[in-house]
Amino acid sequence: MDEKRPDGQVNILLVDDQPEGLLVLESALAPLGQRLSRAHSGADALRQVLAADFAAILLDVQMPGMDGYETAEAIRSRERSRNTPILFLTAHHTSEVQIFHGYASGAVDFLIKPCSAEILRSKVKVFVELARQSEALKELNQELELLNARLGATNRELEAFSYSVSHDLRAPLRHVNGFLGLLEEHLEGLMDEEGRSYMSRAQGASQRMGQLIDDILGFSRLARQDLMKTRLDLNPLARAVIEEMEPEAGDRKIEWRIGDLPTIQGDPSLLRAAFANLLGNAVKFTGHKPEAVIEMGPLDDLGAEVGVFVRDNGAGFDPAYAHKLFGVFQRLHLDDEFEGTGIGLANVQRIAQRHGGRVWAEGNPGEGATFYLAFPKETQP
Amino acid sequence: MNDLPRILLVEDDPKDVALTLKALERFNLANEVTVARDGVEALDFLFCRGNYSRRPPGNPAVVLLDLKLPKMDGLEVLRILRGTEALRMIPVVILTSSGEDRDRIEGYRLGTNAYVVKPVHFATFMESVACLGGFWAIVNAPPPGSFPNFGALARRPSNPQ
Repeated sequence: MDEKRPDGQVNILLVDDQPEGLLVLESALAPLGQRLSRAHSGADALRQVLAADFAAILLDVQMPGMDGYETAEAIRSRERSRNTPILFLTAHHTSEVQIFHGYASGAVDFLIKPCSAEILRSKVKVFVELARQSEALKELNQELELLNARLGATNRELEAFSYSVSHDLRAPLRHVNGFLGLLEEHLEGLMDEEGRSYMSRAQGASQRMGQLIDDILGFSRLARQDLMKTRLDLNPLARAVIEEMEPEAGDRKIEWRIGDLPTIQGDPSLLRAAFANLLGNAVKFTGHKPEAVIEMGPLDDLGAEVGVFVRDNGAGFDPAYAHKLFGVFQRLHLDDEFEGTGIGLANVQRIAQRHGGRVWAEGNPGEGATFYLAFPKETQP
Repeated sequence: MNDLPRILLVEDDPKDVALTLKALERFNLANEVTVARDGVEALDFLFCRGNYSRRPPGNPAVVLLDLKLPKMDGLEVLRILRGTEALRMIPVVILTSSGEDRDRIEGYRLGTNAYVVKPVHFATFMESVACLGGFWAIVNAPPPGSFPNFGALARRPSNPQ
């Protein structure tokens, strides 16, 4: 049995060994239009409380056998009824000690008999409302949980779909590449400039398609692969990533300023990928600068979070489009300015999310960019 | 096509067959290939039955095995191969589109010698497949029971045919 009927009624329990007492309560509370249950003793009250939920219990103190206080204590000791509001009713010659005892047993109110019907009604009405709201909240929560579960399932389906589609696209892509390549070999010397231009653009587009497919697969993999968190000092990780990048940077002059990075609980391979992305971007977008400066350091005053930042003095970006930075395949620059498919930051965001963290950025055109990567502090070992 | 092909290519997609044969031309191996279009045909060839009941006895030097095949898939073919005394030593190279970990793991568990994901890039594909063929059909000394390599000496780069 629930505390609420479908039509919005709640249950109220009236406990008094004397029938006249119950009658008084009933007539006072009837206008509230709720379901009133009667108990003639503490034991009876307990039985009912085990079988149903009540919005409020009006409990007479002076009862033979189990008195009101004992009953209240018993009601409070049961999990199901632990938080049910109990209002004590007693004759007017109650001492302060007794009142104190009443509150100590868990009462929310102490009413002296005879109690005005109006007062009784308004007090009980409060608890009726409370019970209704609590029930509504419970229902909302259940709905939310259901929606969440469905969302989770849809997300997983989508991931599986995008993975399998990307996967299946590779075969026809391989064929296109293969026959374009053979065609090019076959027409060696026979193609004029126009022909060669068409061929080259077709092959370029095919290459681009391959890159996009690989990127989707990589992005998809980030969501599927198991997270293996371990105590991770970010300093050697950053150094390793930078070392790997040096040859690519070639003969460019890059000044690396790496601060003392924190240690977090994280997945090494995922964090490595995130750093490779952020630092790689810094290298890429400072490509036009004669002297590139790339900084990486800890984020100190984050409160409940711990993190790092990566700053460069490169091309920067228009902050008006900052919200697009982390979208899949979203780019804020042209291909002939800087290469890329626009998956890198989407990957970083996904990696951050999988750790319960976040990533955001600041920047201005021509004035460089700063990327922030933060994780919840519980991730600190 | 000679009677004693050193390479058994198990591949259902004719475009992949065409590209693979083209790649194998680099080391003059294109006419060393028998193509089976599905798992059943592959086993018919290996067991000398069905359409192949009259072929000369002997095993190819390598089986290039696609995984996604109609009727019987590549892993099943491999399992049967490795479970048959006369065939279990034949080198197998899985040549597939699938980058799936579980296929790779199962492939090795069943005893493949190599697992190659078909490269999407033209030049890489040609290079990789040519080298695969070159290694297994020419450089590698095959297990007992393989077709004798009559033409190998004649086909060495220093002795063009």
